[in-house]
Amino acid sequence: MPGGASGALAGFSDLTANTESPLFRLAESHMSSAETVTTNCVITAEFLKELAAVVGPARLLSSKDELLVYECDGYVVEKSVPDVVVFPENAAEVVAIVTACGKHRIPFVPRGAGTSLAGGCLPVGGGVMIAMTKMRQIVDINLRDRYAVVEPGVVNVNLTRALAGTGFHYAPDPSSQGACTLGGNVATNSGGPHTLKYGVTVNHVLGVEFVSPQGELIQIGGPCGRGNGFDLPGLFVGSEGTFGVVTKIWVRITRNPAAYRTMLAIFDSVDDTTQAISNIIGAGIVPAALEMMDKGIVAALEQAFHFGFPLDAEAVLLIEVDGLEVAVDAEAETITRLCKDSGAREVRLSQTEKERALLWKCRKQAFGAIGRLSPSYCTQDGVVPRTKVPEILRFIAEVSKRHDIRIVNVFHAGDGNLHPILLFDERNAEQVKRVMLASDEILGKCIDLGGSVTGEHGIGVEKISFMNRLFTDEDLTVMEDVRKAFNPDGRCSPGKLLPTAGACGMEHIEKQHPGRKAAM
Amino acid sequence: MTNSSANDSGQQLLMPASTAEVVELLRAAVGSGSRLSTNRVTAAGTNSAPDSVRRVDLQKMNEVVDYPARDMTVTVQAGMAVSELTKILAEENQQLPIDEFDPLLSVGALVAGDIAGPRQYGYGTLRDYVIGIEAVDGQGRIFHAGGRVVKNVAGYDLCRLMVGSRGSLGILTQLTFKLKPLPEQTTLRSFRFDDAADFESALTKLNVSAANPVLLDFNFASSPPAQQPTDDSDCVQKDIPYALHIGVEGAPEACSWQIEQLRNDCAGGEEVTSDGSLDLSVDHHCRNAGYGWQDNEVRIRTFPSKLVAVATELGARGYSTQGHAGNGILFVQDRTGDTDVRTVCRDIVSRHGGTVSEWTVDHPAKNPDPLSAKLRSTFDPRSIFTA
Ligand SMILES: Cc1cc2nc3c(=O)[nH]c(=O)nc-3n(C[C@H](O)[C@H](O)[C@H](O)COP(=O)(O)OP(=O)(O)OC[C@H]3O[C@@H](n4cnc5c(N)ncnc54)[C@H](O)[C@@H]3O)c2cc1C
Ligand SMILES: Cc1cc2nc3c(=O)[nH]c(=O)nc-3n(C[C@H](O)[C@H](O)[C@H](O)COP(=O)(O)OP(=O)(O)OC[C@H]3O[C@@H](n4cnc5c(N)ncnc54)[C@H](O)[C@@H]3O)c2cc1C
Repeated sequence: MPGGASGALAGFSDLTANTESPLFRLAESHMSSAETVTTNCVITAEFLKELAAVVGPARLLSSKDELLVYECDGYVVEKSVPDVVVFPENAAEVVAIVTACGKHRIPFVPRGAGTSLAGGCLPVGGGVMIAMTKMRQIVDINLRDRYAVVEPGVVNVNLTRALAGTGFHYAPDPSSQGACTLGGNVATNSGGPHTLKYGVTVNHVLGVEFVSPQGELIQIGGPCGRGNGFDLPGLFVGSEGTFGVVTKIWVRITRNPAAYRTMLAIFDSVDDTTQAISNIIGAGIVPAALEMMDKGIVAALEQAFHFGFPLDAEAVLLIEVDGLEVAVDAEAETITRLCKDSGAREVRLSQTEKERALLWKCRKQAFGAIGRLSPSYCTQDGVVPRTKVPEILRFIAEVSKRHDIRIVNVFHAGDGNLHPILLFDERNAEQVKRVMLASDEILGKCIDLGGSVTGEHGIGVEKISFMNRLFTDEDLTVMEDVRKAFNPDGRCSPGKLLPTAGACGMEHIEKQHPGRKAAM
Repeated sequence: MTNSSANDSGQQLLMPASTAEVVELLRAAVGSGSRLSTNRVTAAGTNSAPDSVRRVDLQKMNEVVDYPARDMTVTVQAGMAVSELTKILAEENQQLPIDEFDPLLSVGALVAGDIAGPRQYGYGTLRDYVIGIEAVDGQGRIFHAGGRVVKNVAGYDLCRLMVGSRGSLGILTQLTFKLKPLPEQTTLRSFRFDDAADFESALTKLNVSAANPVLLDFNFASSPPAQQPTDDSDCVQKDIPYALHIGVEGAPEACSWQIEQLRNDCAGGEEVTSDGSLDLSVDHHCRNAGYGWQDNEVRIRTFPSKLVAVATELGARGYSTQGHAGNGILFVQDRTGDTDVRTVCRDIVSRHGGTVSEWTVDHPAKNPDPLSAKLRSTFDPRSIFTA
């Protein structure tokens, strides 16, 4: 688990052992829904033997101590220990594992690095966790045809590292890229700072090989794209592990920009900052990245990295433009002018590669610095139309005041993708309640402003209760039908993404125990 | 009530004016067991729907629902003509960068057909631009996916599923797109190559060019000359063996700088200059190149690195090709009349990698893979929509 995300919450560490727990009830009710074949997750010695025959004893965990590590991901509010964790090394082993699960009617969940911030790999109801981290080969890199073939356990940054010096890179760059896997990225349709210009994961996935919940090895799309059929890779990306286990991915690789200019614009008021964002996008400029950090987060970053951020500024914008050497200066100048017109006190241009790298390190490791601000924190992932950023930030400030909860902001401003981080102490139950109320109000306001409750972290188990505020009953029925086309009995990642039977147990927990989660 | 009238072929034309009316049509079709089609009757005569099929035309659903230009997104009803949308966006200096070539094409058909032209090299395709949909499935259920914000991962991505679904999963009624700014300037340059090796070498250099082309198209006239295409819809004379068309954009100085780079990359060829009678604009090129659809026109999607080999082999068998070199897409014209172009293409592609398809034959709904079939029956269990 990445920094700050671990640590059991009081009262929750024994959840999984307790059959009376809401989580257990959730799993049980989920499993007894009409189409679900699993009635109980009973792990027999015979089943374990079958799994051991596939992966060998060294790649199978079943003792309580070992399993505890896998009780949650970056979302630590809800926990559930899997009954078994297996580490397949190839697609054939995944087929055998999934087939055995089918035979014994055991639920299973794929897991990458476990950096999900939405409980995506929570093994709801126990069962088998299929950890994909041993499938980490970069199978092929083809620069001329601009694609790479990777196994799902490849850590995001390792692909870009493998491409270093070639003039190409893999564009989606989640802030967790040093840890998260490409399989996890495909499952969650990850974004990152540079997705403003380059798009999210789905825009870079050409094909996927996966093991269906029935145990078939299926390829959709491939190096030449999807061919003549439906865009099944497009549908698969973002399915949060509920369609099957990804065993191979064909990704597009992107030319490195010839030049970039990285700027830090410094503002004395949040309103001026958000106005600048709105003015830049409104002027039809799409920078490579446009990230905002407010005073609270800047103070923590300065303590951690000594970059030289101005501590008296109310907010800063990290802006990068890239492209042709002949064009970037003009774009940087226009942005500087727009920032100054919006009231920026100063706009600094990164003078050296070292300075630029440090600036990005600060941004991408912002989560690590948050621990300095508060014992616990909860990161939200709302989205609003880009021009509503000023309005939502004013609302967040107002909510913060009203509930007396400190909130800091570090987020993908150019996309309107917010990450308000609510700071609190989880030992203070009353404060915890206020954090929940504040989070709820912020996400509700995102919906009211025409946005969404998740821009990149996914629904997982965390945001299921928002689904029927975003979608109609009919929408959700259609989505449920699509889920059934891939995963008819719901044994693959049960209790995720859709508010099917049983999800209601969850809000109860959500309301009372916000997680101490990694920010981004 | 939904308006209806009869078209030239006596086929009944249904013209709903709202999503509710589309639902009504679907319910009625479910009740009566009739079938519906969103296919236009085109000049090319692609609509071979039998008389029992009732055609749905959304031309009355042609409104802008919401255009917050400063958010760079737009929501429109699916019946709006793409040409109309282009005009509206241009007023705000914005674009949906999908090359539109048919003034009557509706936004719904654009998305359902996953239409893509020359600039897909630089801008990608509709899967990169559709961020929200509303549609009605074969059971009359209205469903939505995505939303109106540029980044959103809530729920399954049915937007992507609907792109290219060619009317077989549902009737799209409303679409939200993310937009791009209009470039200050676009410039096209064409180069000719007499030799396959020089052409390949230029393409290899262009793959890592210092310039940033948005389109990289080619055409290749087969020999012997007697079998060359006769139409002159394209801007380069047909006696040129390999012609490469490259488009760049940006501020004027950025365009000139890029053209200098392109000249270096294409040093093995010869720049084609316009004598004034040829329109060397990107706009002209996008409207014309690749869109002289013929019946039986075959599309090959191969690796960009195999394009020259595939085109050359086809050329040797008497087939002219044109297409999007940067994307590895070739359109093959069957002018020989005596061979099965599909078989020839299949044979060549099996050695180089890729897929072969024909617009009318290879409908995604006819795809035999079990997953596609399951999705088809999920959305349209009674086969209301004709494929
Ligand atoms: C500090 C920090 C910063 C972050 N920053 C960002 C960011 O900038 N942008 C962003 O989008 N996210 C961000 N995240 C969230 C998270 O990193 C992403 O969701 C990431 O894609 C998860 O990858 P993972 O390998 O850790 O997957 P996991 O957390 O292990 O799993 C996530 C989901 O993917 C599924 N899954 C994993 N592997 C497979 C597979 N092989 N087949 C099928 N399903 C699979 C799981 O079942 C689960 O539903 C951040 C998280 C942290 C902790
Ligand atoms: C021989 C031939 C080859 C072609 N090759 C290509 C090619 O390679 N690339 C390319 O991009 N185009 C190609 N086209 C497509 C062509 O450019 C036109 O887009 C096409 O002919 C549109 O006319 P239509 O009558 O098929 O249907 P249209 O009415 O234009 O509709 C196109 C498709 O979208 C569906 N549709 C329309 N409206 C909706 C809606 N509201 N909801 C859901 N579905 C809807 C229709 O059912 C149909 O399948 C080709 C056409 C022909 C005849």
